[in-house]
Amino acid sequence: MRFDVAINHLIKNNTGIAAAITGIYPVIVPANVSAQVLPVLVYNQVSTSPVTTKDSFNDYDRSLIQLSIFCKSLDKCKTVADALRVLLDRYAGVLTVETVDYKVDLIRFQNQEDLGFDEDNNVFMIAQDYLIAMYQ
Amino acid sequence: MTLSTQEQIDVIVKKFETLKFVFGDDNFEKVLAEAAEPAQSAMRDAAPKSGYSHVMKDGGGSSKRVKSGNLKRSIQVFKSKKAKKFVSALVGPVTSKNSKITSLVGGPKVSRAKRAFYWRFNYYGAYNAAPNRFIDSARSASGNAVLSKLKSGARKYLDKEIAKIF
Repeated sequence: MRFDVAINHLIKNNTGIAAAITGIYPVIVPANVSAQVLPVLVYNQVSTSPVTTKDSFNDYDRSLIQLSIFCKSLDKCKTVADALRVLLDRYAGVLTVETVDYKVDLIRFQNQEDLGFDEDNNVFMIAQDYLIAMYQ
Repeated sequence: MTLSTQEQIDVIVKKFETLKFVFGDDNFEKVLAEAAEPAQSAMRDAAPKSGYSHVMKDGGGSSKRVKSGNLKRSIQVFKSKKAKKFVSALVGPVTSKNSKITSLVGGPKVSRAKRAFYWRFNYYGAYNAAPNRFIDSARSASGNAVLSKLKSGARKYLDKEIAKIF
């Protein structure tokens, strides 16, 4: 199940957040992208676990997604973190991306950690965890 | 309904709390320390190792060179110095030479010589590094072993205490 497509689509299609960030990328911040002016978002699919019953399998999964927010300004990091939580927490619905339907059953905000200042890259970092349940 | 391993551990710890008057604090800590050993070894196995030595900050503007595997070696079993009423065994990296932690009775002695403040950059990732949730994988790998050690420890020390009564 493409949890990454669903989360990417949700964030990119929110005009408020899309205008407040440089971009959203998988796994790490690409070398040619800077987080010095606007925050950069990175998503990582940490784990995926199936939810099965006697007559239902391979059609409903839960995944833990980590969203990392990097920016030189801690204030901008926190503003984006709050906006993401408002957007994603308790979200449920069907997303259509290039004619494919992604049925998001529920997104739950799990945790937020302020990881402080990274002196090597001159950015603050905030990590948020979301538990996403999706149908096939 | 089947309880998850974590829920079963919670139930056993609650039972321990009710039986503390039979156990005594020392035996209670011994059981927790023994049960924490599989979690410690699982976390040490799961923790990443860079393969080369590196320089890290050591407080007060100084820095020191540490060998590869420093994060693994920093993972220990300890309790919080503040935990007086409710003792719990914690497993994880020691982060600072000023950490307010102490050893559990009957458990391995806590050392602050190997410290890894940077565990969170491994765990949550960084600007140019993906997260490695080694603590989560260690927890799921060692849950059953911790549970069985808690149960066997309870039986071992309860039998001793009951034998003392009669």
